[in-house]
Amino acid sequence: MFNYIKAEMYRLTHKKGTYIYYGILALIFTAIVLYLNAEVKGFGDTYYSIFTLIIPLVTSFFIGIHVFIGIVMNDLTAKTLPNVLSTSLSRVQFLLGKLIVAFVSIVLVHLVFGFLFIGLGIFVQGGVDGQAGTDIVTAIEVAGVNILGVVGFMLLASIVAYFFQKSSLALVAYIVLSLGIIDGILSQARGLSKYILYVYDHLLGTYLNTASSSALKGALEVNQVVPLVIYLAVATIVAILVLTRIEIKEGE
Amino acid sequence: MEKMIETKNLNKKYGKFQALDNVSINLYKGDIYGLIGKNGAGKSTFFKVLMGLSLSTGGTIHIEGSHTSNELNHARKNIGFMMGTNFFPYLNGRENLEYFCKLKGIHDEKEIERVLTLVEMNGVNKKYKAYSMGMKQRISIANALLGSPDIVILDEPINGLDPEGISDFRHIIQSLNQEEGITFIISSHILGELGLMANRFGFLHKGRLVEELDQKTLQERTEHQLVVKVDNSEKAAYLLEEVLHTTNFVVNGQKELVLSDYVHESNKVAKVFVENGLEVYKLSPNETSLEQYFLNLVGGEEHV
Ligand SMILES: Nc1ncnc2c1ncn2[C@@H]1O[C@H](COP(=O)(O)OP(=O)(O)OP(=O)(O)O)[C@@H](O)[C@H]1O
Ligand SMILES: [Mg+2]
Repeated sequence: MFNYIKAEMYRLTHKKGTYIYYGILALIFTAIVLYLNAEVKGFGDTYYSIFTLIIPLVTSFFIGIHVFIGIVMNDLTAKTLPNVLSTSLSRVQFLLGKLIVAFVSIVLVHLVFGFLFIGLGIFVQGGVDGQAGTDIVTAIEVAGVNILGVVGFMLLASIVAYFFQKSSLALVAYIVLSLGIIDGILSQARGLSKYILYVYDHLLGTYLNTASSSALKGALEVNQVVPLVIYLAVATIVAILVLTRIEIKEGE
Repeated sequence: MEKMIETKNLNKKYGKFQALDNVSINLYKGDIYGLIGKNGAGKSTFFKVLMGLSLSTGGTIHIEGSHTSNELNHARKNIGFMMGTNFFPYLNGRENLEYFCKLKGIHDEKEIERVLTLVEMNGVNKKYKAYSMGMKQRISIANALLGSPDIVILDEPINGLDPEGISDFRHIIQSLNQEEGITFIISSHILGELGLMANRFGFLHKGRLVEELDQKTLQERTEHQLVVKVDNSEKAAYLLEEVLHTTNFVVNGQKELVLSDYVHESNKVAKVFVENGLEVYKLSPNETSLEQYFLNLVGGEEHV
């Protein structure tokens, strides 16, 4: 499994598109901050409160989808699963390897953007003020919840991805999940029956919303993180069960 | 002789469709085994089941003497496998091979250069997505050779190679077989492509291994044959077996019997048939090519 993780990290770091993608994301973010800084008087004081609110929503989609494409979908579009799974790598090792690679990638990307975020913060506020320390702790909590969410959606979508072994379906699944489309529909319908309400209450998105809003207030509690971790564990087990039972398609 | 791969009554069903029907194959050390079959015969299915990409619905697989599924999985480490030409499009050939070296735990830095040189791809630095079909084919073969595995399984490796490529391919396989003792199993839907290099052949048809023979026998059989057309081929087959004591024949797509014995004694055959009340429409020696032999065996008229 360690060999597989090394191979995957090699592949992902040698994909030039990744650097271009994140480079553009970073540029856009920097441009927005600098623009607001020039236009809005007193922007510097509200920098952290504004962006800790917006960034998780944006990054979880833009970072998440890229990580999902790189880690789960690429195997399907390039049809490399037969090559990969015909080595002595077991399917359990394959999935756990993917999970670790996903965590590492997402944490790395969050770190890079975190530094950019703090760096820009120091710039627009004209230095580090007393408030910054607690703001950073909040940011880390928000990022942590964010990371669990992205990995959670990725695992759920990967169940669809491996079951059907169709990249288009996998992508649709990821987008539907990470944009909270199901959550939105159920949220509208939750008054209709207690079963719908029950399902709605136990969606990954619902747990994530609760945890994020607490994290934003700097009041994240352990019992808000536990459901997220349980989600990850169950999704991992289901993904392994699916993966060990499917027929690996040949690819043209 | 040391058995490298042994399957016993291997079965694979997709729903009710029998893709593999009691396939028992023995692959010995040093073999170059040609697995021949038309489109849809089950060649890829057989390899997928061997490699654990697809679960069999019956029968057993032993690789290098493995007995438990754990041992089997471990033994797959010693197999280089090529099925289709699928790599990451944004990496070049070298990087793709580097990926698989890391995955397989091959640390020798010269290994990639060695296999790239073998398939004459060491001078190509393009991204995989810009490769021609033949280049993709070559890099796939190179990947199967990484780390000099004991056994190399190649599913239709010749598709898409130009004539020079095919000839190079034969040389590579034969020299690796002789110098490094690598055992090969290679599938094709064209017998002639493998006729010159394989030492044993298995003919797969509709999921069944209809015949297995060595190169010498194949040569003998394809040199001369007798084609017999009668009004009742089942009865003729019975007479050949019971009276003339030979099973060296097949019934081809035109219901003719293609007989490999009695080639120079066609009078004996005619006599037996006529004496037993058969109408003999045709009885002629036939110089068959390899391809013809294969088609005779599996029924040249039908298509999948
Ligand atoms: N996943 C599947 N579900 C149902 N049937 C399948 C599946 N995979 C293969 N088959 C069927 O099994 C049979 C054997 O297919 P296979 O791909 O093994 O043939 P092949 O000998 O490799 O043919 P080709 O020369 O075209 O590659 C075919 O009839 C095919 O339709
Ligand atoms: Mg095939």
